[in-house]
Amino acid sequence: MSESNKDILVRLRGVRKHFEVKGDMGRKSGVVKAVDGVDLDIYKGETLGLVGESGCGKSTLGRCILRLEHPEAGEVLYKDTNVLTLSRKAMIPMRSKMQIIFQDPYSSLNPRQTIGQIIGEGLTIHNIGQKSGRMNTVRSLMDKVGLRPDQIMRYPHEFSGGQRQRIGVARALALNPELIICDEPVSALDVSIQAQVINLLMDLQEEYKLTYLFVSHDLSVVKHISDRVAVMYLGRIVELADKNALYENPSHPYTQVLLKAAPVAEVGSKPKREGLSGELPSPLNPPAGCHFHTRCDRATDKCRKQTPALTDLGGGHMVRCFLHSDKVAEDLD
Amino acid sequence: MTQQPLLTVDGLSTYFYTDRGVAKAVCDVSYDINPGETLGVVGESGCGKSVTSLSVMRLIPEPPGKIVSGKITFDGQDLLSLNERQMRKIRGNKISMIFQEPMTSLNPVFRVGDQIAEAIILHEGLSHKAALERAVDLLKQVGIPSPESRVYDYPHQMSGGMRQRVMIAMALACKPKLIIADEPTTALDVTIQAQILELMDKLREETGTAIQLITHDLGVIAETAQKVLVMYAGRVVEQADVKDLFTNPMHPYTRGLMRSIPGLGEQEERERLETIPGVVPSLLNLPKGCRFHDRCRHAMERCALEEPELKIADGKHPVRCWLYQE
Repeated sequence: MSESNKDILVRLRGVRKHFEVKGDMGRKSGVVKAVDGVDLDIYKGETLGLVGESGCGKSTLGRCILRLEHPEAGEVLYKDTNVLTLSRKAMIPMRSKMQIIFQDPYSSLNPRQTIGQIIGEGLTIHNIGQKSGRMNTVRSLMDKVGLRPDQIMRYPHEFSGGQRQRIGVARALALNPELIICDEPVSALDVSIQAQVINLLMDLQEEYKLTYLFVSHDLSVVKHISDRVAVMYLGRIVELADKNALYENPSHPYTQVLLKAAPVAEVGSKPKREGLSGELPSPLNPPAGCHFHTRCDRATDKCRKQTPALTDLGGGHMVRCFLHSDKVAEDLD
Repeated sequence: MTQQPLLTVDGLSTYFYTDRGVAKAVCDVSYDINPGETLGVVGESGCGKSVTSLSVMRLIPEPPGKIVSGKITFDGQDLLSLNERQMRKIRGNKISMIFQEPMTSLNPVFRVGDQIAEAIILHEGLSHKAALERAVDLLKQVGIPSPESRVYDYPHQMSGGMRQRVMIAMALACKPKLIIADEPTTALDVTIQAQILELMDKLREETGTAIQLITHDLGVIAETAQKVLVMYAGRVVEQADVKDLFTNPMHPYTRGLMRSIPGLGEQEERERLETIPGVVPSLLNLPKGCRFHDRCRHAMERCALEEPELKIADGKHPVRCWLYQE
């Protein structure tokens, strides 16, 4: 599929979200650049995987799209409407089109509400359907996600982790959204339950033509579900490509390290792990230049001083690394 | 190889007596670990993998828990016959443990050096100064940069990966013969996980320490263990060498687990993952017969009635399933 004939559903331009960190006596002691100038397009109907290690800003980026966090700079265009400049009132109908599934199915459901209230809350807020009909809608949603509709009056604590995540999925589906941000939706689940929820998400996507932004740290899950994958490191996107291009031909040194580090469930597959050292630097004080240079075994002086730009290697494979951008520039000369 | 196993667990059963009934967390579990060997224990939440290792450490809270039967022999000693004082001499000394959450298992108000030194002073009677010097060496051994100053850090001054290294340093402090690592890398990022696993493997080779590695991650098992125990709802369902297990998984549960993880390799377009239907049964209310039968696609009439034994099938490795037993 070429890019030109695909509709862009969400367009991010220069999105920046910084958090102030308070030190002793409430004095400002630093700024965490959680999302630091991200440009990203999400196409209609695709699953865009967003991977990275903890603290790289992947969840914050997802929340910025929904305006659950308010970025201080940049644009979030949802079909040409800038979500960030909408008034509170204008935002309400917008919210029904964009939903989120959270990581922790234990803390994201109100323990004092019944499943019916949890799933149906959006319907009530947006005044959809007759009051009496709403519970029927909820029942059919429960059926859709593989829950028994007769459990509608039960409370979250009566369900297992996997079932709770299904409740979260049903809640996200209730308003017929176009976009669902899946923020580590299977990370808290057991392996055998993970597969059930992944299959459910894929089936629902097909049926309702949903668009997913799938945030996860698990490379194999992201590979399974995504069409394209973006890799984030300390607030910036360092590589973005079609799934197969990224996994078969990872071009940023960080992506290469990440793929090598993931344990594989096969014997005798233990890969050689060179170029893998050091820890994620604090996002409070990210290194100058390319953020990855402190852990990169191919770093040069240039990497320590200048920040590379995202460069297209062709076919929409974008990489933020001097190793590639210099080469592309040479080829152009 | 006719060496004496370091740890032999024989017919271990640990139950919890709760208000709602008896939870049979571990039922008739047997295994052994040789010196310098890594035994992987895999299973989902509630399968009894952590309770098994807590039983070995005699850390089961009593009541409500109780080791109802079995024998645990470590280094020629019957652990279940020891009293609390004798047991304390073993914990942290000959057997030590690494827990999943490095944040909650370190004490936030003590410097990490002092926490490492505590066990050394207790078990080896070294002076505080000498113990602290050992702590510096240990921190160096686990790859913490500038250990001389880091030894005076508090846990909150360190990252997750560093804290887990401190936990490992602590576990190594008295040169234990066995380390029980309960999900040691689950809370860590993949690049850090890879480093920690490599470190544990290196230390095992250098010091000849045996490791009992508990995890839900089959990838971690494939890379680090030599022998594997697959547990389901308190029972061992399959027991094999790591190579055997991954090339020839026999129990339907093991097979289901392996098929339900998406791989990093070649992939057809948008294929569905194979799943194991249903959920893990509650330990308070275990199904009759084979504990896996209501989720098993090969279940037969017999499976719902009688529970199979853990038996060597086809001359290969032990598996608890009627499919392989006539």
